Amino acid sequence: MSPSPESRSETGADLVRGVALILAAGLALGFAYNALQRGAGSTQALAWVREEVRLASLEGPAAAPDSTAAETGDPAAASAGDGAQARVEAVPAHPGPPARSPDDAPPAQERAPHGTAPAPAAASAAPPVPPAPATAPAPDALPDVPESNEPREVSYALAKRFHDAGAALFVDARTRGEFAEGHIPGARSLPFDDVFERPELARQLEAGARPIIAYCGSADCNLSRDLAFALVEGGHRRVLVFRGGIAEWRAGGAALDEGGPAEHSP
Amino acid sequence: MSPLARTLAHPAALRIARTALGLVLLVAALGKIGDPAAFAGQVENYRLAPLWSVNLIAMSLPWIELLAGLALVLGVRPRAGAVVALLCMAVFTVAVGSAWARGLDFECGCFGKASAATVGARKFTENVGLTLLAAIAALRARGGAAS
Repeated sequence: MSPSPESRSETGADLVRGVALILAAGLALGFAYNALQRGAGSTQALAWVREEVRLASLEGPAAAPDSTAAETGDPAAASAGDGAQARVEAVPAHPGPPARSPDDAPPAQERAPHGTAPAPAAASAAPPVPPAPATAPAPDALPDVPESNEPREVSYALAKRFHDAGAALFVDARTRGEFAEGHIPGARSLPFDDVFERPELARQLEAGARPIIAYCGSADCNLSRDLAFALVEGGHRRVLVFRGGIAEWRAGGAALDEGGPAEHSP
Repeated sequence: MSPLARTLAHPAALRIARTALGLVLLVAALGKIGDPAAFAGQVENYRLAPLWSVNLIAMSLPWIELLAGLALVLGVRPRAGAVVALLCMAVFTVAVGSAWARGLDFECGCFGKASAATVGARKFTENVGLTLLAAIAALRARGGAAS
């Protein structure tokens, strides 16, 4: 029988060459494919150098989207009038009909003077140092949540205030099992996995006039952000992300509810 | 060749191992090629590679997997394909193990977004199994018969 290439003594060099060939060809094909996608303007194309996606903070540039900056959330929510100006300037305004504010103060519909700005991902530059709070915060006034085609982040302090006022719909992006083990009281279970399989679940979520606050386990987990983007895609225009999630909620000493999901979104 | 290797290196066993491994690689690769953004997101989640390199990895790794899978299934330079698979599996196993140890909880990224399996013991065991399979597939066939 004719010797197969393997029964001859295949040199180690042959093997190394073969491995190098596959690696090099794989790299080349991968880059070429991506270049083609980019050339075709496909949404599947990747940037060559990845940069951090930073969601703009609801509280404006004053508050870094970071748990340690929780305190700065309050001063930025001074009054609906002044606060809205600062906040709207931080994010591109969505050119749409004004949203009904969930709280009492009439919404200050100041649209940012600039046109549609590039995505808040451009705010990946280091967040500026938070300015010292100038005015005493009005503890009862929750900030207006303007409409946007991108979700924004909220700090723990602000999320807690929304929660205590019942002014937002909290959705838990984790699995139902994790939800049952402990969730933010009043939150609805909307596992991102489910929404991923059935995007209509995002569209069907009824938030009424309230903004939606998505959360998951911790800042390490991206489910909350993924769910928030899915909700925006599903048509919701006032979606917030509480990145700190259950971990920060617990660390803040607030209570968690246990038990099975109340109701899945209709 | 050790007795164990001799058993495993039987041409028929090798063909099965290589075909099986190749198919797994093909399915995994196609899933990732189909949604590069999702895979890139998952590579980022592991927080092992520097952020700037994540997209480069995400766009090339699936194609490397694809070629290795083809090499194995088609029987063209199958040993090279198996060694590449072995390298990939070793890297994945370390990544999954590291994430598991750090308690990171996110989609595994093993089959693109098709399977949202969280990192954990099961995924780690699967990876170890595949690594072993790749090691077997990389064995040189026992002399005397075409594989």
